[in-house]
Amino acid sequence: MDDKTLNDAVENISIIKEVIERTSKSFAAFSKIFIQWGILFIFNSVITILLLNNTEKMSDIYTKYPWFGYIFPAGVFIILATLIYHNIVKKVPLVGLEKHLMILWILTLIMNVIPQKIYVNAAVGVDLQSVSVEYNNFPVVLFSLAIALIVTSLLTGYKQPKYVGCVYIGVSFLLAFLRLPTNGISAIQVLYGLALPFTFLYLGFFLRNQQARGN
Amino acid sequence: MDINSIPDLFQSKLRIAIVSSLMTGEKSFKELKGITDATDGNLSVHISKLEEAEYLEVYKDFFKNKPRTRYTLTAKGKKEFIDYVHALENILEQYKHNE
Repeated sequence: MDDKTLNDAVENISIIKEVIERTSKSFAAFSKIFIQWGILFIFNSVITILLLNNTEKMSDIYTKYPWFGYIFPAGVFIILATLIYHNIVKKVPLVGLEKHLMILWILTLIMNVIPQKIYVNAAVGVDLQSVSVEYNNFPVVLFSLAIALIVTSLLTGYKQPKYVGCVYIGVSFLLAFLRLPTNGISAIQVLYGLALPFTFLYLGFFLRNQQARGN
Repeated sequence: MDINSIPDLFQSKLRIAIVSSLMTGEKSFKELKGITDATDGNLSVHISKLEEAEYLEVYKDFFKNKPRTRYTLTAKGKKEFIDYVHALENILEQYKHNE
């Protein structure tokens, strides 16, 4: 083997490596998954709001079948989201940066699915039936979505998701210190229901448009 | 594929760069131009050669009322390129053994 062949091979491999690294910023599969997950989360939000506003009817089912609360609706939607993911990845594999972003967003989702635990301690003699605990983790959910949006913006180089993330942080602080009513269909429930689908649809369509423009 | 049977199409660094970039998904002419830093004319000539050899396919459509041309690798193009990369790896392996 002569030196020229060897040098050419090394040079060509470095060209291939460099080009693939530069062009691995593709969001074809990622944006598709996010758009479909966004649509799925709309159904999840509608069902969750309906369940929350029919707690009296649902409490019988939850008492008889305690496992039902874990399976429906979150469990069913997790299975559907997994099926969508596998179906898309099978046709268009995630490449380069897409893989890292997907890990970031899946971890963010898991963080918000982990059940919250609340312990209420009361002194002996206090009637616990009269204790009312209001708990709302929406500001934390919104803040976690903001972090994911800002990190996505930093990794992709697109500025817009960073600005949306900053708005989310502002809203989450506002909600954390404002006491909004939590009974009935409250503004906070609607916001809660909208936040996840909106974020996923926004990011999915945004990345798809950027790709289509060749940016 | 051995060293002597590398297709002529992979003798050009620009064509190697075009095919490499298409390995990560379809690209527009503008994107390919940005990646390869080639002139419009030079890029068109090399794309045409790859198209003639059925290594890539061309899609023409409109995006926001503007004509857009997108390129994607064919199954044949992908296979030839993977074989070519294996041939390059073999060259390096052989060199390591001979050293």
